[in-house]
Amino acid sequence: MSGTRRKALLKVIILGDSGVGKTSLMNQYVNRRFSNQYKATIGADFLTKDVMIDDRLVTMQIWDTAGQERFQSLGVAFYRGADCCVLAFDVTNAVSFKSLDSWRDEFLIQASPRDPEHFPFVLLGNKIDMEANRAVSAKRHVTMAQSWCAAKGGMPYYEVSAKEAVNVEAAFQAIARDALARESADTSDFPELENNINLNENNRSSSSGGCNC
Amino acid sequence: MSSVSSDVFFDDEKLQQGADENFVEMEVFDILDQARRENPALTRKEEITIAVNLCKEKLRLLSDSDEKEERTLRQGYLDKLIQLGLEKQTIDDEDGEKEEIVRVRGHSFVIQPIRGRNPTCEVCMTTIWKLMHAWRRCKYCGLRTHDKCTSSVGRMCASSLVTRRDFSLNMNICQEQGLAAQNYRCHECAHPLSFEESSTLEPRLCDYSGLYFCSSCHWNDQMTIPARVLHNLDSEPRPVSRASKQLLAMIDNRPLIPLAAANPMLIKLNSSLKRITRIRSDFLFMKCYFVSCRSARQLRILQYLCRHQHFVESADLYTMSEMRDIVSGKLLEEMEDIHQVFVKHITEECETCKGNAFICELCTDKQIIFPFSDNVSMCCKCLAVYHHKCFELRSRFCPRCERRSKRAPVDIDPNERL
Ligand SMILES: Nc1nc2c(ncn2[C@@H]2O[C@H](COP(=O)(O)OP(=O)(O)OP(=O)(O)O)[C@@H](O)[C@H]2O)c(=O)[nH]1
Ligand SMILES: [Mg+2]
Ligand SMILES: [Zn+2]
Ligand SMILES: [Zn+2]
Ligand SMILES: [Zn+2]
Ligand SMILES: [Zn+2]
Ligand SMILES: [Zn+2]
Ligand SMILES: [Zn+2]
Repeated sequence: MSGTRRKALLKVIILGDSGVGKTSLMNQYVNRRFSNQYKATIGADFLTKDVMIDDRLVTMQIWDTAGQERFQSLGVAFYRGADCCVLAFDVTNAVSFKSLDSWRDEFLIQASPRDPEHFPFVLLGNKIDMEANRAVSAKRHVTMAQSWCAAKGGMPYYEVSAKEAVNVEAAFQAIARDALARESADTSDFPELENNINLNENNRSSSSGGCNC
Repeated sequence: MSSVSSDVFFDDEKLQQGADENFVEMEVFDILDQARRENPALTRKEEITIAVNLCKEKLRLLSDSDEKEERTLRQGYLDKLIQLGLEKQTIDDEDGEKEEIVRVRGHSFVIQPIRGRNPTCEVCMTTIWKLMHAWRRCKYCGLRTHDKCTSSVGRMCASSLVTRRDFSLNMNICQEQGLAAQNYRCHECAHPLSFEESSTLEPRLCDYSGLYFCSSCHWNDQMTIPARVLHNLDSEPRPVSRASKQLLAMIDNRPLIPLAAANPMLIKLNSSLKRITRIRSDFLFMKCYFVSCRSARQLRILQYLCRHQHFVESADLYTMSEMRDIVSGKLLEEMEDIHQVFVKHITEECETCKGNAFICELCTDKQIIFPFSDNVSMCCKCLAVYHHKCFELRSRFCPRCERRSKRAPVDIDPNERL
C-alpha cells in the first residue's frame, strides 16, 4: 500500500438531541434545502456528497441519526470506522447543550476508536438565526461552548444556521479537511505498522472463527 | 430472545390521531350495532342516516374551545361525516344508474347477467334458469337467489357478520349437542328433522358449528375447520352448513388464528412450526430495519410478503389459507424465500441496514450481529443485542441500559455552568 493513496471516503456521524437540527444541517449541506417542517428521523441513514479538498476528490458519507430515544436505530455498528463525529446542539435550547457529554461518551464507547483522546469531534451550535430566543445571551453562550470544547481536548466549535445556511458549508469543509489531515498524518506516521495490524487481525479472526466467548 | 413489539417505531402523534379516529368509529359502531339489533333489516342507507345524525349531534355538543383534544375530536367527527356523505352518494349513484340494490339481512343483492351456468337459488332450492328468471347475487357474500326470492332470505349476510366488532371464530372442535337440543328442527330454517329413514328429513351435521341442518341449509360443502387445524393441524375438509361455508370462505384470508397463544405445545413439538415462528419474529425485527432504510422503501421490499403483510403487524396470527399451507408445507417454503431476500438486503446489500447492526459490546469480536442472528440475546429494555454467551456470562447485564440510566433527564440551567 502506498503512503499517499488512502480511501477517499470520509465517514461523518452527526449526534445530538432531538430537534436540534441534525437532519436540517445535513440537508442544507448536501441538498441546499431547508424545511420548517419537523419530521422526526427514524433510525439512522446516510447521504453522500462529493467535495474537493485541496485538489482531492473526497466522498463524504454523512450519517444522520435519530435524537429521540424511541426512534433510535437498533444497532449503531455505523459508529465504527467513523472519521469524525459532529455533535450538534440548539443554541436556543439549554437542555440540548447539557446532553453533549453523554452523546460524546456514547459515541466513544460504541465506536471504540483506537485513540479516543484524540478522536476528531466537532461541535455545532445550530439555529443562530433565532438570536432573540437564545437560551443565554449570545456572548455567554459562545464562551460556554468554547470552554466545553477546550475541556474536551480542544474540539472546534462553529455557530451555524441550517435555516439560513450560515456557516454550514464552511463547517463541513473544515470537518472534511480536518479528518483528511489526520488520516494522512496517521498513514505517514506508521505505514508499516498499519499493514501489520490488519494482517494480525485477519489471522485472529480466521483462526478463532468469529466470537469464541 | 425476547420479542420486540412492532410499534417501537410508530409516531405518537399518529397514534393519538388513530385513537381519536377509533373513538369516533367505535361510537358509530356501537349505535349501529344497537340499531341493527332492534331492526335486523336495516339498510346501509338507513345506517348512514343514523350515523350522520350521531356525528352532527356530537359536533353540536362539543364546545368550540381550541384545546388540542377537542380539536382532534372535532376533526374526527367531521372526517367521519365526509366519509359517510361520500358513501351515501355512491349508494345513491348505484341505486340510480343500475337496477336498485335489494338489501335484506345485511345482504346487498344485485341483478345478474344471463351468461354462465345456472346456479341454485339458496332460498327456494330450485335451479335458476337464467334465460327465464331474473336473479340476484349479494355483492359481499355471493349468495344467489331468484329475484322473487330475495325478500324471503332468512340467513344473515356472512360479510356483515364477520365485520361486526364482536365477531370471533369458533375455536372449539365440533361440540355436537344432539338433535334433541335443537327440538328436532333445522338450526337455520326450523324445518323438522329426524334420523328415521325418510330422506327429506335427514339431519346434516355442520362440523364448524356442531349444529344440525336440513338439506336446504346444508349442502354437504366441505371446508377446513379452524378449530381442527388450530388444535391438531388437521386441514382435512369436513361437511359444513351453507352459512358456515359462506362465513369460512369470507374469512379465508383474514389473520384470525392465534396459533402460538392457543397451542404453545404444538409449536414446541413441531420443527417446521418452530421455524415458522422464528421467521415471523425475525420479520418483526427486519421491519424495524426497513422503516429506517430509504433503499428498502424504494425497493418496496415489504411487498415481497404479498398476502402475508400481516406478518409484520403482529407475531402470532395466521389466516386459514396460511394454516392449510402450514400443513402442506407450502408456507414454510414461501417464508424461507422471503426471509432470504430480507436477510440478504439487511446483512449484505444495504449499507444503511448494515450500519444499523450491532457489535457485541461485551467482547472484542468485531463481526456485526443482528437481532435475528443465531446465538444472540437481546436486552428487553433497550433492545441492544449481544452474543448469547457474552450476555449470559455477565448475568444479562446491559451496559447500554446502564449508560442510559446515568443519563438522567436533568434540567439544569446552562448558566450554572459558567
Ligand atoms: N430557525 C431555525 N430552525 C431550524 C434550524 N435547523 C432546524 N430547524 C428546525 O428545527 C426543527 C428540527 O429540525 P430537525 O433537523 O428535524 O431536527 P433533528 O435534530 O434531525 O431531530 P431528530 O430527527 O428528532 O433527532 C425543524 O422544525 C427545523 O425546521 C435553524 O437553523 N434555524
Ligand atoms: Mg432528524
Ligand atoms: Zn351477503
Ligand atoms: Zn328461489
Ligand atoms: Zn334448514
Ligand atoms: Zn436497507
Ligand atoms: Zn460477544
Ligand atoms: Zn439494555
